[in-house]
Formats: sequence, structure tokens, C-alpha cells
Amino acid sequence: MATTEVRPDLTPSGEIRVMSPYRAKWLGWFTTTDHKQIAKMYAVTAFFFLLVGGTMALIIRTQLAAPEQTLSLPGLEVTEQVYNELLTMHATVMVFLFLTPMLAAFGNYFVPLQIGAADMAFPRVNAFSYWMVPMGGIVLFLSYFTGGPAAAGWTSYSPLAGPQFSPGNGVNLWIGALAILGISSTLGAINFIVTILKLRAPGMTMLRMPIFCWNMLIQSILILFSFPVVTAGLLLLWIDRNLGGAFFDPANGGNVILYQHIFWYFGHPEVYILILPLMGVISEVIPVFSRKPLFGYKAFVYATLSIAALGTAVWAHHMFTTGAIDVKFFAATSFLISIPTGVKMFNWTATMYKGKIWWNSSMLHAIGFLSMFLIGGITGIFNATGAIDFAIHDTYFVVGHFHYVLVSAALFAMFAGLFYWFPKMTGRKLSERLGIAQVIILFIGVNMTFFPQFALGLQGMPRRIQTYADGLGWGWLNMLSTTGSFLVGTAVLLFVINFFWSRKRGEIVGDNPWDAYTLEWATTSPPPYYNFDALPPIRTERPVFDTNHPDVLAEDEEYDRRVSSHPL
Amino acid sequence: MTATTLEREDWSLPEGHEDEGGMSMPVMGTVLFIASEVMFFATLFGTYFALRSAASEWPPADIEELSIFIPIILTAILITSSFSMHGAVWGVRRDNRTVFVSSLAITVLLGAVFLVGEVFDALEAGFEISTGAYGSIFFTILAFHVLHVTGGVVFLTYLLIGAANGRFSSRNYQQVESASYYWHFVDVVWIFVFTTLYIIQ
Repeated sequence: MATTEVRPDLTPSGEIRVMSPYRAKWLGWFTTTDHKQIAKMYAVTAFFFLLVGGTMALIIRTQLAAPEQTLSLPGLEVTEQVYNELLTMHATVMVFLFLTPMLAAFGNYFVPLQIGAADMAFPRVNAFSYWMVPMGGIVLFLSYFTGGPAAAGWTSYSPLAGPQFSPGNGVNLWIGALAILGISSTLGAINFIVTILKLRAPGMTMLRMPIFCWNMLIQSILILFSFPVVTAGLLLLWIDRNLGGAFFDPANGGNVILYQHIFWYFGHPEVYILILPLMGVISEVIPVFSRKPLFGYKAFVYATLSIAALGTAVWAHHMFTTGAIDVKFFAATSFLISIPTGVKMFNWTATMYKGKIWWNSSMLHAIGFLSMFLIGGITGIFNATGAIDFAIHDTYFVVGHFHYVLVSAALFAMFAGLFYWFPKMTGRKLSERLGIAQVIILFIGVNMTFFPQFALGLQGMPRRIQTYADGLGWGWLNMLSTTGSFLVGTAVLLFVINFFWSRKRGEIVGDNPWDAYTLEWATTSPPPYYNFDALPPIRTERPVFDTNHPDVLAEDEEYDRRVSSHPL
Repeated sequence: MTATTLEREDWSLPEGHEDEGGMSMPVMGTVLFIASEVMFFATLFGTYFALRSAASEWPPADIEELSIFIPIILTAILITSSFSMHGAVWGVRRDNRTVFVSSLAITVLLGAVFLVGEVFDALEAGFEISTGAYGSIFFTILAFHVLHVTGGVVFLTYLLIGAANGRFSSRNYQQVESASYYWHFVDVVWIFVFTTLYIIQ
């Protein structure tokens, strides 16, 4: 053709543009509505808060390393008040400002790519959801300048967080921050649900959708039904604190157990909100590096659905010792959850069975997730058993249990995803050597940190104490735990080094370095701002694999044809 | 290519991109948003019944029974406004501008009257938010309903300005449809508020 083609997707020198040409590069970070850029901002913000919350954790662990001490750091003496503040802020930062945004980052980047869409359903709402996160962080940390942060624990039980025992401004700002972050998550969830239901590429039926998208969908539904509940509950607490309300004040007809019900009605689904997307990540990584499709795709989807459904009916197992609930019912529903979870463990291990396993750092992290999640899950059954829970409630056993799930398992799954998808996001691989060093240090670190806490809990060490008496025999286990926590910190720092090194000097790899299965690998690395110029036909849940290996697809179809034509 | 001669009937989407029907994206987003709002109000009503079931006397002895005269009128006003809202959607779907704009204007007017009445009636109650658990939950539920109606009236006013300027048509009325879903939701919540706070007090 004689006409000059206008290609906004190409730079004048003919290279593919990653960013929209219509935006200035620097200002673009503030005005963008591109899901990939927003995802990167989510990830950087979340990682920043991981370092903040991690530093707090290390201070807490150092304080607990030896009995009867009050740690003195330059400018910070860890008194009981300071310890409670650190504990509250550590938990809040890690749950609401690190893990939740990190999952939003994964979802934002890969849900549109995996379903073959150009962007999220509501790009501007997406940008708004992101900007609420740093806003929430600022509100939360403002409390350091207005008379000290909240110190009532991340649960902020009333009456401890009520006007009488937490008179300062800290809890008010904490409530404000959580309301902001809750709205951010709720809007994000609406965005994910509409994106997944409405923007799938032609041919991608629900049961051909990547497992990661399924898990994001189910996580979003859980967010939609649990975050508004805690937002309402926190507003009630705010009214109690500031307008003289009596919701949680028994002297005036209030009910303290009610707060616990409202909080855990959100609090327990929140655990699945945090872990389901990571299970999705693992379900992408393990099949690719075992060179097999995921074993039992449908069973996996149904298992995820049943976890979400059961997850909304177990909340009061956090309240066994209140004596105000039916222990048997909530123990039974909690046990039931181990069935779909077991189905998933079976799916993952059966996928690996007889697979041609590729032992790279992403896969090693994924295997780390499986083993850590197993320990976290099994100790959960101890907690769900009413009789045992009465003995170990509010001890370090519980701390060990949920840290195995939300630190050990979550970090392993997050790193598995980052090592797997980094080539897609940047066009370069993360360093394998540093990655393998990291996985070894992290594995030793988390186990050294959290396994002794089971022993401490069984010996009776309570949670949320600033220090403990000498001669109880808890000192060496705490020292072990503290040493381990610094190894975890080292592993995280190794990743930061790896990230900055590999961004500039990592090995340049092609569009699909892992010979992976799902649609994000059909576009360039990094993807252009409009994501796809063409899509492969989607006939199974592995469209890119089918396109690259037509012989395997033909074999499969031949097999299906034979099986379905069999008289039995 | 000459772009001006195509009739709408000739248009088609590329193969595989046919409109599958069903809800449009903004309307689906609104429905999901309303779902989250349902959970929000469910928490407030759950709190009401939890407090009430534990109380020995409800309402407490020193609180006078509320008159349901004004609330009944308010209920009638809000239900009427739901019908006029539906009229607005009916009008815009058929490109009937008169019905559309006038129904929307009636809805905004009824919403504003309701709002004034609801706030006025709440201020007439003989107790405060700090008067024990009964007062706390009574005013909390009312206040959040007032906030939601206010949001609805503001958004409907914005739509009314757009409608007066001819911004909507039978091919572009997703905002109106979304607003109507939200308005009906606010109406349904009021029926629960009315039943709970006034009728079964």
C-alpha cells in the first residue's frame, strides 16, 4: 500500500511501546489508568510496606529475644506501650498494606492478560482503588504525629479499643485507615468480578479460564461480602468512641461479644481473601514447571468455591473461649474446610507426580509453599478442635499457626509468582543463583522463626506480651525464633538486590521463556499498553501451549474422541 | 472509507465479539456495589436485633414510643419516587424526553422532600445517640440511610442536569439505569428501616 500506516503502538524507531504514547512518562505514573502500570505501583507500595512491617517485626523479635529486657534502640525504647503500638501497626501494615495490595498487584497485572482483555472493566475506578492504598497508609501513620498510634491489637476488641482504655487519637485514625483501605478493596473486587465475567476473550468459557483468575474471582466475591461488614463494625466503634454511642458498652445496654462477631465475620474470610489468590499463583507455577496440565481442574475450582462458602461460616472459632458461642458447630464447619483444602493439596502433588519437574527458583518457592501451607493447615486443625483450643488460645501456638500460613506460605507463594512472572513484566529473568540462595535462606529462616513458637505456645507463653520472666525456659526458644526472623529479613533483602540487579542486567529472555500455557505468554514481554495484537484460538485452558505444540493437542483430541465414542 | 452512509442496522461487531446480551458492565458494577451495601446495612440491622434480643426492655422504659405518622407519609413519598424513577428509565428507553426529564425531576423533588422529612422527624425524637444502646442504633441506622439518600439525590440531580442538556438517549442510558437500581435499593432499605425502627418498636 502506498499510504503511510500510523502505528501508535510503535516508537519512531519501530520498537514496541510499553506505555501509552499519549502520556508523559514521568507524570504518567500519577495519571495512568493502565492496569499494568497500576499493578506495578501496587507492587512497589506493597513491597515498601513489607519492609516497614518487617522492620517492626524484627524490633518485636529482638525485644523478645531474652527474658526480662526492655530494648533500647537509638530514639526508641520498647516499653509496654511502644510494644503494643508496634504489634498493632505490624499486623495492620502486613495484612492491609502489604498482602492485600500485593495480591491486587498480581490480579491487576495478570487477570486482564490471562483472559485476553485490553484492560480492567473500570480503569479509572482501578486507579482510584490504587490511590486509596497510599492514602490509607498515610492516615494510619499520621497517628505517630498525633499522640501515638493505636495499641489495641489488629483486632481492636472493644472495650480495650473503646473510649475508656484507648483515649488517644490512634484508634480513630486506625479506623479511618481501615475504612479507606476497605473501600479500596471493595471497589477493586467489583472491578475484578466485572472484568472476569464480561471481558473474557472469545472462546474462553468459565471452565477454560486460568485457575489464577478463578481464584481472583472467588476472592473478590469474598471481599464483596466481608469488607462492608467490618467497615460497618468499625464505624460503630468510632461512634462509641466519639459520639458517646453504647454499642459495645454493657453498662448502657451494649454487647462486647457483638464486636467480636462482626470483626471475625470479616476476619476469618479475610484469611481466605489473602491465601486464595496465592493458591492461584501456585496453580499456575506448578503445572508449567511440572510440564503437565493441572491435575483435576474442575475439582480445584469446586474446592475453591467450597472453601469460600465454608469460610463464611467458621468465624466464631476465633471466639471459642468467650463461652458465648456454639463450639461444636463452629468446630465442625472448621474441620469441613480441611476437605476442599486437602483436595487442593492433592491436585498440586498429583500434578507434580510423574511430571518432568524443572527445578528453578520459582518451582522451589512453590514447593516451599506446599510444605509450609501443610504445617499451617494442620496446626489450624488443632486450633479448630474446641478442647485443644481452650488450652492453646492466645498462646504462641496460635501465633506460630497463622504466621505459617500468612508469612511462610504467603511469602513462598508470592516469590514463586514474582520469579515466574518477572520475565513477562520486564523481558528479563531474575537471577537464578540469588533466587536459589534466597529460597534456602527463607526456608531455614521461616521454620527457625515460627516452629519454636509452637513449642513456646504449648509451654504456655501468651501472645502480646512485652517480656517474660527468667527461669521459665522460654529464653532459648525465643532466641532461636529471633535468629530465624533475621534470616527471613536477609532473604527478603536478597530479593530486593536481585530485583534491582536483574532489572538492568538480568538475562534477556523471549516472550515465553517457560514454554508456559496461559494467554499472558502469547503477547510480548513486557506487554504493550494495549496487551494483544492477536490471540491464539482458545480451545482448552492452555491456549498458548496448544498453539506451540499442535501435535500434543491433536493427540489429546484423538484420545477424547476415542474415549467419548467408547460404548461404556 | 466513507463513514457517513452506514445505517445502524448495518453495523456489526467483528466475529467472536457479538454482544452476548445480559447486563452491561456499568450496570453489573452497580449491582455488585449494591450487594456490598446490602452487607453493610445487614450488619447494622444485625446489630439492632443482637442488642434488642439481649435487652430486658426495648425500648428502655424512659423512652417514649415514637409516632409513626410522619414515617408513614415518608414511606409513601419514597415509594412514589421509586415509581417515578422507573418512569424515567421507561422514558429514556423510548427516547421520550418529556417523560424522562419530568419523571427524573419528580424523583429528585420527592427525594429532597423525603430527606428533609427524615432529618426533621429524627430530630424530633426525644432521645440522643448517646442515650444508651437503643439511641445509638436508632440514630446510626437513620444517619446511614440519610447519607445514602443524600448521595442518591445528588447523583440524580447530576443526571437531571445531563438529561436537560440531552445527554441521554435510548442508546446511552446506562447511568440512568444504574441510578435507578441504586434508588430502588435505597427505597427497599427504607422499608426495612421503617419496619424495624417504627412499626415493631
